[in-house]
Amino acid sequence: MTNKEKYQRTFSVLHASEFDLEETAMNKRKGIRISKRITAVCAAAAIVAAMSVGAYATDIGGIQKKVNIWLHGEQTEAVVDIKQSEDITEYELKYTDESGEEKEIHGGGVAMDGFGRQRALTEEELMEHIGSAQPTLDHGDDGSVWVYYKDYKENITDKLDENGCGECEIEFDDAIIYVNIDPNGDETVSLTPIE
Amino acid sequence: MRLRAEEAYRRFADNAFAAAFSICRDKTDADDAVHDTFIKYISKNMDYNDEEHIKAWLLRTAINRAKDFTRSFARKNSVPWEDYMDELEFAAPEDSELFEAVMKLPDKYRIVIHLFYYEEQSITEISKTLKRREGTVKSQLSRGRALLKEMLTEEWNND
Repeated sequence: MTNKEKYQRTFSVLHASEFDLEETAMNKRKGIRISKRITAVCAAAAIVAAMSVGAYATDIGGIQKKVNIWLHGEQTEAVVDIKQSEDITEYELKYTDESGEEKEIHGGGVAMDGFGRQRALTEEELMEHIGSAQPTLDHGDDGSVWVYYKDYKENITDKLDENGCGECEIEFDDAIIYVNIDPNGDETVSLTPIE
Repeated sequence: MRLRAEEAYRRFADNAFAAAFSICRDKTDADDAVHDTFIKYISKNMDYNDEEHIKAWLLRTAINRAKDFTRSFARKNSVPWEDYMDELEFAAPEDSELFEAVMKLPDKYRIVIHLFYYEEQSITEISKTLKRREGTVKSQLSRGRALLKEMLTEEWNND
């Protein structure tokens, strides 16, 4: 038996877990991103994950909370409405953008251990995620590309090629943000160097 | 061309999972990487040259997503690969030894070894998948093989 045959037999025991693609696609249209990881619970992650570490929450009745978050480099007040069911914890963030328009962000998540046992996130876990600070990438209507991190923002359009692709590093006061956009549309923005 | 998402999943999800697992060595993270990859496949609605192009895109996307997870400073619920290994049903005892040896390889060698032996990718293809120079891939493959030979001795051929 060749090494290749041995290797293929050995690793053929690995199988992806089944999940409902149709439901996933529907949830995506609704803006709900169901992740099996606590640390990546929202689909609107590009915006939600940009919330500041210092976000504060105030109870305003039920399990609605008022939070101060960073959105596109600006402190923004939002109301989080958490809906906990047996299978998943979902949330809805409502805020008013700079043009006065009411906006909503939806997200949700489950936690799963390494053996596939899953449970709905607790409210604390969800709030911890909402409070985590991660850099985000956004595309303007004019084709510009922006990086946001806490209250920092920078237009990186000129650092990319004519197709909006490339690699760059942006140095902020307390962090270096690494960006990679490849021709296939894969976008990575990270606080650690991209291999 | 484009395959329906269900068809693409049926045919390539296990390949994407195995590649992602080679990066992160965690079932939950690898599943999530596959999940995210297919969400992207559905939402991007890209046109592909052929089925090999689809598979290559899915592999590359799953690998990149798994790398994102390994970079995350807040990796929670991570189960040691040794525990997950106990759940796997290997066809022969020497398979579990090979699996263990591969898991013990340094990260940069592990995925190169996986793409070469499991996906049967050439040096050039691995270089494109991982965005590494061909020379780098060649030396990483050679070093990875040597380490496997050290660990597995007679169970690993010189082919």
